[in-house]
Amino acid sequence: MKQINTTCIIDDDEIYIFAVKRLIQKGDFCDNILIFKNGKDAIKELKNLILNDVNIPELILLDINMPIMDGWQFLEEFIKIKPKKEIVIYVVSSSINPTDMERAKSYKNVSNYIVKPISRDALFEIKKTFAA
Amino acid sequence: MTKGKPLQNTKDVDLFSFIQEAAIIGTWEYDIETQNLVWSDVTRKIHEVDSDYIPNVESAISFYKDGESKSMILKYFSEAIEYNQKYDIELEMVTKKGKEKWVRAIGYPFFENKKCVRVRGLFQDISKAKNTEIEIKKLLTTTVDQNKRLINFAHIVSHNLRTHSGNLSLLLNVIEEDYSHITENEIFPMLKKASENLNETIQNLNKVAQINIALTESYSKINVYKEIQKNIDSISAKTIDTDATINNNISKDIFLNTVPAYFDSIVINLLSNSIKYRRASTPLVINISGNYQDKYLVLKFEDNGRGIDLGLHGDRIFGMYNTFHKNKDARGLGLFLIKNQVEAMQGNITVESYVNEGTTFKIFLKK
Repeated sequence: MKQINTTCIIDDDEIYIFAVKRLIQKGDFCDNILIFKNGKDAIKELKNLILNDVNIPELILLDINMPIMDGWQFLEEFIKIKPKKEIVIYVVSSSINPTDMERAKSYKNVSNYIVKPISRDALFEIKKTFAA
Repeated sequence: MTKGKPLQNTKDVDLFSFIQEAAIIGTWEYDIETQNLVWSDVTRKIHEVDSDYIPNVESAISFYKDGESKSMILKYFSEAIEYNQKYDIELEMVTKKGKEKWVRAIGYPFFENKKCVRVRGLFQDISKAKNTEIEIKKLLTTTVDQNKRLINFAHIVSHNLRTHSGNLSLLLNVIEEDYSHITENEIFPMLKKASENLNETIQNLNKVAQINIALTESYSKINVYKEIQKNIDSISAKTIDTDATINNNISKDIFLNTVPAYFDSIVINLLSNSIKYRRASTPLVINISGNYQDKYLVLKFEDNGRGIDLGLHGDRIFGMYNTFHKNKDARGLGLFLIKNQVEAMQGNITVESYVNEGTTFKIFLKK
């Protein structure tokens, strides 16, 4: 049975980060949380972690609209890294635009698309897929 | 009136000047040998010159606006004399009193023994129609801009607004979990309800915006034969009245991904045009066929109607408010509309026509 030790949140919205952190901590979801405010910071640090094989997150919750490097650009860069360990990515976005949802599904690294606000139940569902 | 000879009969002259006055169409005539240029009263009026004004070729040309209009009239006028080419062009001019006008300049050369002896022409003030056309083009640009703004609006609703309303409900959830003691009052449930309502309203708003975008460009697959037949049936009253025969020769297994509303409009407009401009003496026959050419499905609408003088009207046939026949219900918008709809679907339209033989339109639609 797999477990989530580290969850990586890539999002520029402070309120969202605050609330998700809270939900994660409360719900006994995982031990560590990595937070990045844009795709560029995230990709840089993830490359390092993967290279040194430490603290590699099992799960990434990825926003689409972000400054500097957005979610799509992040995915394009992430594909190139090819980590040995599987990293599950969920796109978590405010957008209910069908074209965004379809675009997210077109990446085989992306497991699912969650429309914000993310709820405790949604987190619970994600945890369930890991336990399965 | 004999072709190429000056008017002589006074009755003809009266009728002629009446027509000119009523339609704001003037005439002019240029004699090559004497280099005399004669303007009719209406031509003078359009130029806003006195009735005793004597023009010559240079002064006449000097009324046209510098740039495209002047170079066009020089080119067409000299080609008329040199190569026996008639012309029909729309140009900008400035009158004697400094007023800017759009005019339609028509010139017919007359040749004797392979030499041009005379050019006779019409001169029409089309400022009103032209300004309307310009106005409508402006409106079209505005509509396109507004559509873009609507897409932006949909994006703002879908993303920015939802971000905030989403955070609001997320925070309310956190409060509920972490500080449940402050939720035990009558205000908190109302606050939660208000937040839910806000989410729902934004969701609906987004749907409305999405529909409006989709309406302008929703493609779907149609059976071409059936779709055309549907349109033929819808105008059957007209066809029976006029004793017209419409043959739908499209193969029944051709399907097309298209904007159905545009497709119907194109078919209806072409059929109505054929019916409107049929010949009185011959029963109308319209043949519709289709075949593939490269990336396109080419639909052919062929009639045996009055035809259009393309040598004369060729470049203006798809323009706005241009009509080439004397029909009372001719509006000149149909072909303009069709061309825009075809082009909106990245297609193309061509025309072939001969006076008193018929007209063939070809519509190229992406497969």
